[in-house]
Amino acid sequence: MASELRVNTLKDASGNNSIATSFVAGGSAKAWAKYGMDDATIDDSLNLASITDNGTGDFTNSWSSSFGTINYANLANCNIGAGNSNFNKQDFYTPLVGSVRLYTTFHNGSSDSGTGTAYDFQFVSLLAHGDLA
Amino acid sequence: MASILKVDSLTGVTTAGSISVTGEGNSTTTNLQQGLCKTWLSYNHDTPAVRDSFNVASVTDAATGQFRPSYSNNMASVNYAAYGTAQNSGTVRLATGSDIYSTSASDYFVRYNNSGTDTAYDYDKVTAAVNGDLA
Repeated sequence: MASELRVNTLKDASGNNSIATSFVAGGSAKAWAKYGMDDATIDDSLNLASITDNGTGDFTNSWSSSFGTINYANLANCNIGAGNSNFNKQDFYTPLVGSVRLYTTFHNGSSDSGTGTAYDFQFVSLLAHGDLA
Repeated sequence: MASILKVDSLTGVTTAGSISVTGEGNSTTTNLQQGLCKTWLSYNHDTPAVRDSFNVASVTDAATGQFRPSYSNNMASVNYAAYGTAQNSGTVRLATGSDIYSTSASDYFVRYNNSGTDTAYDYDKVTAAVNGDLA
């Protein structure tokens, strides 16, 4: 049977390590994902309904449950894989409450200080923190 | 009225590993277990030492600019999200690029290059974190 518990604070059984439930909700990641841009396949995720390939290095990430505002925090880490020395890149976002667009570029070492080259990375780790709607 | 729940373990009723938490806007829910960060690490790679961590069993210094943190409690699979940043406190030399990704259910891989020379570099302030499903 489903049950609902309404409580303001959690403590361990000894009464220590107190944490407000607002920190549980506010501090939990609202979305994360691991996927490949090269094959447009989601390996695993939380709250990621779909990814849309808009072009090389350009993916829209659509949330299953939307955020309350566009003012949420995104973080991404993109990789090619082990053994590749040219792994610089930049990530840009256009957040909407229901999605965020991720742009990724490949930079060939420190000599490439320009805009880089749009690139579909093999490993993308995506994270979003903020308030759900 | 304020309320306090004293408990050592939280377990779902319908599914042990799944507890819903009402979102801040009160109109949707998120999953407690899946939303929790499963490991984080503050690491000095210059003189290798773990400053502080959660769910880290050990850190293997693989090579210059490369190390592998292993989990105390492993992940369910290789499919999890890993992130991190690196900085040198002495010269404010930010990492050129990070190469952080899951390699197995028991550890992950972190690599950084020096922004000035684009060569592997042992930064003294490295942070890393992982979200995903525990085993």
